[in-house]
Amino acid sequence: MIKRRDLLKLAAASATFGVLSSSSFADALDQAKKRGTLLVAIDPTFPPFEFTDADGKITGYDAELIEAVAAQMGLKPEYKVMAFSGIIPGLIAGAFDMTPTLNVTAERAKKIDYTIPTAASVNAVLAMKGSAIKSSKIEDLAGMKAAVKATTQPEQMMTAMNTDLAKKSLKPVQLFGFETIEQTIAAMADKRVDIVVDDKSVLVEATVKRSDLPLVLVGEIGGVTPIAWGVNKANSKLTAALSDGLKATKASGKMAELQSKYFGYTTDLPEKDFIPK
Amino acid sequence: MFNSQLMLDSLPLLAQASTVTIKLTVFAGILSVVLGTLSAMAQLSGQAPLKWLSRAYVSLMRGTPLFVQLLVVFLTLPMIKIDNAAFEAAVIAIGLNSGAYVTEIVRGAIMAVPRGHVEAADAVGLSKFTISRKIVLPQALKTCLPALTAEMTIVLKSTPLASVISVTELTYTGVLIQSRAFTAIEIFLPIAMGYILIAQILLRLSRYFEARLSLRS
Repeated sequence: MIKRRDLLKLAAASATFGVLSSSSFADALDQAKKRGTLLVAIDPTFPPFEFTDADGKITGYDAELIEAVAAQMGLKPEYKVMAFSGIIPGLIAGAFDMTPTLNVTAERAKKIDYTIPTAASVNAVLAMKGSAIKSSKIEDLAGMKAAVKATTQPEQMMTAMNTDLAKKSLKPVQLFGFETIEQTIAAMADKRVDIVVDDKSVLVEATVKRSDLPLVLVGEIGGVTPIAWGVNKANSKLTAALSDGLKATKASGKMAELQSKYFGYTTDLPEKDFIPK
Repeated sequence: MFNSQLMLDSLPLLAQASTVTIKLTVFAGILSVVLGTLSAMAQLSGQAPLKWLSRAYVSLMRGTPLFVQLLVVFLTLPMIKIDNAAFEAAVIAIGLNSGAYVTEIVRGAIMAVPRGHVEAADAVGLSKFTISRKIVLPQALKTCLPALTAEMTIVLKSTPLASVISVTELTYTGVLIQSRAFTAIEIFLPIAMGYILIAQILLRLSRYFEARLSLRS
């Protein structure tokens, strides 16, 4: 039992060490080690990053990367499978240790911490062959209907671009939020929207899976955003341990191997100053 | 083109997930009926504090979305050191939510019991508790059974929302398969039929009890 005097000492120590103390006290890393498992919130509806195979097992680029990093830490991943809209609120409330595949945005960086990037994302515009779209430049998309995954970075990016369009007194892109990428493409096939905006590698994968549809990648839109794993701000030890684990997978060539397997190409990723201002 | 092989292959996973949906419906339904009955009795008890408590509960639950209630319950549990309790959180949130509607259903049914029955029971010297148990609640149950059954089918259909707090029930399992197979109809057709089947069981059970209750009176 903690006595009041000990608490006073602790308070004095916290005052001395300032920021350090709050994060090094009861870090999720210690709890995970005690438990032997790493609690991962995941929405496996996002191939090739994370999806389920025919047996319902979670697999994909990030799933394999998580397994590799967790194994180095002597932990087993324990997946909490859930719809994406519940993941960031849960992470902030401390309901689980981490979540993979988050686009690094300045907005989110205020609420959660990021590991070093695991992938880089560039968004792209997907349309049906024979549509009237000239290019993926935002000015050419003005007034169109676009399907996006709700509460994701592409949606936030399109909302930001709409303010730019408004400044140029052009019509905004009408955004329709869906839960999964499959639903965005189905909406376009049904002519309920004109375009789909999402991560390029996800859209490429979708064109392969839906080769029955005349899908065409119009082009990239917006800049390159790093993708990383998200951790609660209180758990800086865990964030550091996960980042170290990721660095080790880079050094061993495991990360490059997984990138070739799931994306078809390898990519160099920054380790510093990757959070946008 | 309809991929019937995919549909057949998905059935075992969907059957497994439907047990989660059924469990969630049953537990949340029981919680809802218990809470709703207690809350209705509190409102009719004539005790001001109980009445206000029940009214506050009903307004709170009816005035906020179930989505928000699920997140609030789920995210509060780790703060009081209860980890890994997503299913329990879903039962609590859906039960609390539905209990508010059950309160109104039961309250209406109790008020529909003829005043004379209670007065007669009182006149022959039955205690308040016995009047509730033997005179009021059995008659109220008969009146409210159809509305209660309808409410339980609503509970059933609100279970997919639990997927935001990591309960992998029937609908979300469909979403998972859909995002891998990139097709929807083969997955959601059996899912829709699954819900119809569960709802049918609820309706049949209700009919059975309705028939038994009318025989007894």
